[in-house]
Amino acid sequence: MLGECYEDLMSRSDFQYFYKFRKTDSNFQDLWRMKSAARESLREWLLSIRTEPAMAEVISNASSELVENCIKYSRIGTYSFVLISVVNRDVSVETINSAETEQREKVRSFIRDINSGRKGLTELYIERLTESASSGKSQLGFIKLLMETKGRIEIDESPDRDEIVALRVSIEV
Amino acid sequence: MVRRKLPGRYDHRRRQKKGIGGANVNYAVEQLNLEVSGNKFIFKGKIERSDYTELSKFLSDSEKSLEGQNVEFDFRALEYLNSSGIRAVAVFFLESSKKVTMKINPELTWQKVGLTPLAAIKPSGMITVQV
Repeated sequence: MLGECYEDLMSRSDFQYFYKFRKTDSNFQDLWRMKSAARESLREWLLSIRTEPAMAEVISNASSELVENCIKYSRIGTYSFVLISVVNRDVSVETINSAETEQREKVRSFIRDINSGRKGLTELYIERLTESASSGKSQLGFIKLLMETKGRIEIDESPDRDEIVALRVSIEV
Repeated sequence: MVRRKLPGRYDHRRRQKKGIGGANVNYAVEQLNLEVSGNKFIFKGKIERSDYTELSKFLSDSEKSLEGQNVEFDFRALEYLNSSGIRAVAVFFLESSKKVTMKINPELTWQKVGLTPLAAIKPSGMITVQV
């Protein structure tokens, strides 16, 4: 994922867009505004490298949903990293953040479930929309971004990455 | 220039004063402007909040004063709504007893992909989508 592949990504990517942020006990609203600005900025950046407008919209929205999760669930005092890489017609959106054990396990389990193909994304999306908000199972943003991008999502489950959530969404444009 | 209007505000008194039909109630927050005109909810701009309690309350309060059994949600001029916002709309639809017509812009992928499935969260015919 991002850390271990960074050198590789640096050498093989045509374009990269990277940012990081640190969550504190008082900057949630600032980060939320930053996330909105980053979504707009990323869309413009993708357009500037001749990404189709519809795809630029989809990728920047997908990135925004991932970053929302980083902002909501990162532990106070930790950094989150966001990297968008473009290689020919392949785009990857990667995020790394440090989350509490319960949240990490919830995301890992959810992504395993999605990738098992046990249920279709639309079916899962409708199911999650109709569940009560207090069920704690939503993960609606992940499902939505996969439906929109038609991409695939991976999570790094290396044992030495125990404290972090490292996600990659791969999209063919 | 980014237009910010915080916190969200709306005025039901104005709507009640003018009455159903000619009424316009506005809810404005961040870059969203939500207009209620008759039985139509017209969304313009964009919204990506972390908490939709206030918007949900506005929708719920507005619905109580609507006449008839039909309500229209016009999303065509809404540029962006995050998944939390879609969930808030879904909760409103689930709790409402009215038949909902959603107008969407199929050119926007998030609307086509993210809003269209809302038609399936209630029994057939209760929520329809117009493109």
